[in-house]
Amino acid sequence: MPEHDDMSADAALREVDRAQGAVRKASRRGAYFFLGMWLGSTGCWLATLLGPKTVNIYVNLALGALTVAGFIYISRQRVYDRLLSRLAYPVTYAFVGTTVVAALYNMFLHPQEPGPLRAVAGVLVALIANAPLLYGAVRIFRAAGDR
Amino acid sequence: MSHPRHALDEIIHAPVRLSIMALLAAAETVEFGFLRDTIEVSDSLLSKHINTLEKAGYVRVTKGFVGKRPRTWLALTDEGRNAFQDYTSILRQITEGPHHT
Repeated sequence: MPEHDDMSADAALREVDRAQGAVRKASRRGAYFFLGMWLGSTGCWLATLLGPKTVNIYVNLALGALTVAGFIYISRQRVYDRLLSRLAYPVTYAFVGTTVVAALYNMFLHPQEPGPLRAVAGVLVALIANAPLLYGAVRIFRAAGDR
Repeated sequence: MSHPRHALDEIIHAPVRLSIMALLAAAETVEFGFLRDTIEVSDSLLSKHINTLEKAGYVRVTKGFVGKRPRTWLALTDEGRNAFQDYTSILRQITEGPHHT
């Protein structure tokens, strides 16, 4: 890139769009990360709440691996979009909160006998537990689309 | 009445520095290597321009580590963000005319 070009206003605005497009692309990766975590974690919760007890150990291992992968992914980012930075902590705290609520429900309230109530409650709890991740993904996708 | 181009910030209105400011304006923090690869300049040229922007109070430079690897992180200061906003609004005045501000 030349260092001392005399730029027109149009060329300068085009360059602003181009440079900011690179950040938008990176922020979409953040949204895909939230979406991936949401899918993986929802699958794990459904297996925990509705699957046989024998799968619990594997599900817990999968959740642990997902969390570690998430930390590694976030720490390796080279650009942090403004919205992603603003959302990261609230989404994480909300996700931890809903996960604790879901874990308490699973320990004390979840019906043990198979039936429609168990299935409906299990699906609802799995969706609520992971709603913050979906919220984060949707917010970033919307913002990336609007800009 | 003077033409709006006279109000353009000369520190920002240079191709490499404009790219740096535009990229940082859209982000919270950006790693030096990402900036270098995206705007396609050498380490030394990028360092030189970052130094200019840092001296103007527009850019904040933070050094740290990811694992054992040293990393340099860049972010716009509030002053830099305001200056960039003013700069882009003047560009739009020039391209769209004074009635489209």
